[in-house]
Amino acid sequence: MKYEPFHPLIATMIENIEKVIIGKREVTTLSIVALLAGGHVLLEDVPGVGKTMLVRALAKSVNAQFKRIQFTPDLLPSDITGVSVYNPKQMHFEYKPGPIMGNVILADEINRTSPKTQAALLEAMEEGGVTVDGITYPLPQPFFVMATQNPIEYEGTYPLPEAQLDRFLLKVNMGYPSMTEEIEILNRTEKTTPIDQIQPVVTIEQLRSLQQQVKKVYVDEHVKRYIVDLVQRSRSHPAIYLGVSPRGSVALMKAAQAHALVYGRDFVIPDDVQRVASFALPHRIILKPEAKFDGLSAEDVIARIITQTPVPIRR
Amino acid sequence: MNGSRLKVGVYYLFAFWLLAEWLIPLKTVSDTQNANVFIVFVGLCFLFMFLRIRASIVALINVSYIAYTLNALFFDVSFFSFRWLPLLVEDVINHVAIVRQARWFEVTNVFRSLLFFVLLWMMTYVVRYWLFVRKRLFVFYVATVAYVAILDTFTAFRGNGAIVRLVTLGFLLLHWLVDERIGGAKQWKRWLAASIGMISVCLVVGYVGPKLPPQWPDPVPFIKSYAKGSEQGTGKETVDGTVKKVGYGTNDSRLGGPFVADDTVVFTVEDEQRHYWRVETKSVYTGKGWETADNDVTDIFEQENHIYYWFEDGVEKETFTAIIRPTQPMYYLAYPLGLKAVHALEVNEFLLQMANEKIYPVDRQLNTLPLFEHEIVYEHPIFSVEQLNDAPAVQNDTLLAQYTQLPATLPSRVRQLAEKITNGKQTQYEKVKAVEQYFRLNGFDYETTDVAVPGDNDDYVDQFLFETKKGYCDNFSTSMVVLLRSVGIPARWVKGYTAGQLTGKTADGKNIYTITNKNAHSWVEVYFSGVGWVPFEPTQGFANPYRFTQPQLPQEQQVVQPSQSLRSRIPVNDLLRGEQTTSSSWKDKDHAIWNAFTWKKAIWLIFVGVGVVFLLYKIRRKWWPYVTLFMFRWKNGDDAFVRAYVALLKHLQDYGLKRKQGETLRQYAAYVDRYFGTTDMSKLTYMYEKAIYKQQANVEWEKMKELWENLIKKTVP
Repeated sequence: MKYEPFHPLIATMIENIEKVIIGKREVTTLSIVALLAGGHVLLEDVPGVGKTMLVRALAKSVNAQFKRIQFTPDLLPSDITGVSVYNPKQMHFEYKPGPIMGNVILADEINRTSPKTQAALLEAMEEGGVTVDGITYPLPQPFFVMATQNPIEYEGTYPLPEAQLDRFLLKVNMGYPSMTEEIEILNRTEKTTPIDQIQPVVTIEQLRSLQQQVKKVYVDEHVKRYIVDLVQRSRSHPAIYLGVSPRGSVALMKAAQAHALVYGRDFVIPDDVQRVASFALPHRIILKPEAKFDGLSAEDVIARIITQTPVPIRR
Repeated sequence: MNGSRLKVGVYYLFAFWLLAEWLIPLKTVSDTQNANVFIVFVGLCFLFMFLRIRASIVALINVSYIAYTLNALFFDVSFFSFRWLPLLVEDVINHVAIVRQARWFEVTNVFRSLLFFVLLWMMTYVVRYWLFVRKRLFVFYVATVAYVAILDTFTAFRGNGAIVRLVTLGFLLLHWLVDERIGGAKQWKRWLAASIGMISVCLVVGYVGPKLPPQWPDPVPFIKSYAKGSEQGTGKETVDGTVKKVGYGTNDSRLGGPFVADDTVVFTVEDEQRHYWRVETKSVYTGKGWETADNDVTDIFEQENHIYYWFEDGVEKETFTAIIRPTQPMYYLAYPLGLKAVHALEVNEFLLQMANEKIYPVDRQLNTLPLFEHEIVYEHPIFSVEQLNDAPAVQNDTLLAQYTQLPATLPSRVRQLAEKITNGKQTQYEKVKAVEQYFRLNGFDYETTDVAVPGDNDDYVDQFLFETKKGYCDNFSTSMVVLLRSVGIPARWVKGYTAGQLTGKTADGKNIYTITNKNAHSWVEVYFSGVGWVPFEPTQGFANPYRFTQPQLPQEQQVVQPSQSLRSRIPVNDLLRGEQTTSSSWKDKDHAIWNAFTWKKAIWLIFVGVGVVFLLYKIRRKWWPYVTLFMFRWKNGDDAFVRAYVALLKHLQDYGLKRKQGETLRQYAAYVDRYFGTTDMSKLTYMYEKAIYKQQANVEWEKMKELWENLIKKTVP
């Protein structure tokens, strides 16, 4: 993908975001992929590497409504979805929308809250609406959740169950910046706050249209076969206890479609699939304990499956 | 002097040695008397190269050396008087015209030597290039070995020493060059020791080990005779220079060995009658071949042959006229039996050599003359079987002595066989026919390639009759003569041409026959009292063109073989004019074909075929890309592009750029481009992706073809 140009709109978005986020083009791109595919991203990394900044920059670039929910152990589901409050003047219950009613949501430290609250968020993500007191309120479109998770602290956390992890389209690790990148960060933040200078470059309408285009990206029979081949190999792989579900195949294809569009193509090539597979599949499998003891990670196993699966190169 | 300098010195020494091996045999095989001056010259050239003397100085010294040597060898005047210089210059100027007009025979020794010096000078540079730039010497080395081997085989030069020297030197040199090419192995001393050890072992084993005698028929006599045939360009032997018989020349003293058919046209004839063309006869059988009788009697006739009568009066004859048009001037006459007269424009006298009945066109001083278009009048005989049967036994003692001669070494089983064949036959004619038939029915095969040469203790006829049973006309005719002579029937061996191939008709209805070298033939003539010399044809696949009338039983004439050989293709109609074909002869032919495909040959064929296929497979990288290029040159369209791309992938894999299983085309293309330093593969790949992942129909294959061709060409190592 080294030489391939981005879709022009997306190129401006990435450029814009990179005013704030330095040297994280892959994460940026993958976030946009998830946004276009209508999926959500789970960012897993230590605090302070710019997760929040990324989400805010993304939200500002698309001129979207940005909401942030800080998950704490005492957070209740209604703190997310909103509650009905009795309006004595009008004599009826009035729905007060929760913080979830936004376009771009940053769900910070999602594993710190109780499973009940986590479930409320995930349900909203899956269904695209919240139900309060029997009335369903649709979420605004586009709706994009970026949840973060701290892998270091285990005390007082509620790790997300595997079945819920696969509600996220991609799981991405942010990683530390390199030396020069970090110096550049210092330079930029020395006198100004770069996030304030970000201007919207894409309208919500344009974003919606891009999301529609993703669905029209052509996936050839051979590429679909390749996707299924990858997924099925994960089900029979000796190191994997639980393989990728059919929902995983769908997610992989959608992510690949979005990835193709990001690079301005209207058809999916195996490179798209391979690229997103490393982020769309690892959180959907459960390794066998012995594989974990061998020091294998889910990412390693998926990478191995990718190298072992023959790429379709002929009609 | 450091190590590498020493190495270079040794290289030059070896290079000198290799070139010297080409020059050493010159003393033996050519009239070059002073090969040493050339060897010294080559040595000088290499020495100057080693010392890195400036080119201008080298040129000066070399030119001086050449001039001095030429003077010393040819002009014999004082070098410093420089009087030789104008002579040399004049010689060179003269040769400009000679070379331009390709009059190679006029080139003088001075000029030849000068050219040779120049050639050697250039060769030293070429060898240096091979040694130090290409670092490859294998082809030159093989050529050197082949040169020595060929000279050893065909000339008086004995290459025993040269071969040993070449093996030692050549392999050492090859080893070093390989070592150089791969950038010098770290443990080169060990490698060198191993190499020297191997070479020594090979040499010792080769020297001490027992040597088998040749395991196949020696091809050398055949090639030699062929070379001789074409060499005879001067002197009296011009007579046969133009015959250039393939497989046998004028010299029939050692028969045997294979021959190769040659399509060169010797002459064309306008004639009404088919008959053989005689050139000469031979009467002395030596056990290995034929010699002409020791008889110097000659006679001369002017146009009308009044000196030699072919048949007695009782033989029925028809007179015909034939016009002969040689392609090359002939120095002897090819004539039919019953020659009456020869009419040629320039030649009046003809000299008849009695010993072999060869006729030369001569002038009054008896020098042979070239014969161009000429007309021959002849009496074509029709033999009556009745008359032949009635012929009394030959009484003429001198004739019997000459034509029943046999060598004392003839194995007795030949005589016993002759007696067995003729046992119970009453007349001479019946006996002769019995012997003639014998070759048709007893498993003899016509064969031109796998023909044995009798060894020192073998008799040519005996070997053919009892051992090989395979051969061509010489085998059959010689054997028939010897068998007849064994039972006292006077017979002789005749050489010449068959009637040739009917190639057209003239306006007045005469046939036109074309006689080529492959129509060269030999047959048998038997003497009958009261008749004369009667031709017979024992060779399988050949039909006697002369008629034998049998009034009582016209259907049961002699058995005639249809032509199955390459040497005389007689049109069937023509054949039937005089003789009849029987069905049994066809069976024989089938039999012969069946025999030709023995399992041994089949296995050989398969073996060779597999070998060829294997070789082609081994070197496929060198030629297969070009086949692909050619295949897709004019193919257009989407489908062609996809197939072309897949073919390219295959060639790249073959070239060694392997694509891993899980590698996408882009990753692979990036890898290929990195390797070749281009972006062609990526461009092609982007287009190919559209074709297969998007199913896009109209890709711009035309524009991309050049990229594709470049890449394919790059896969040729």
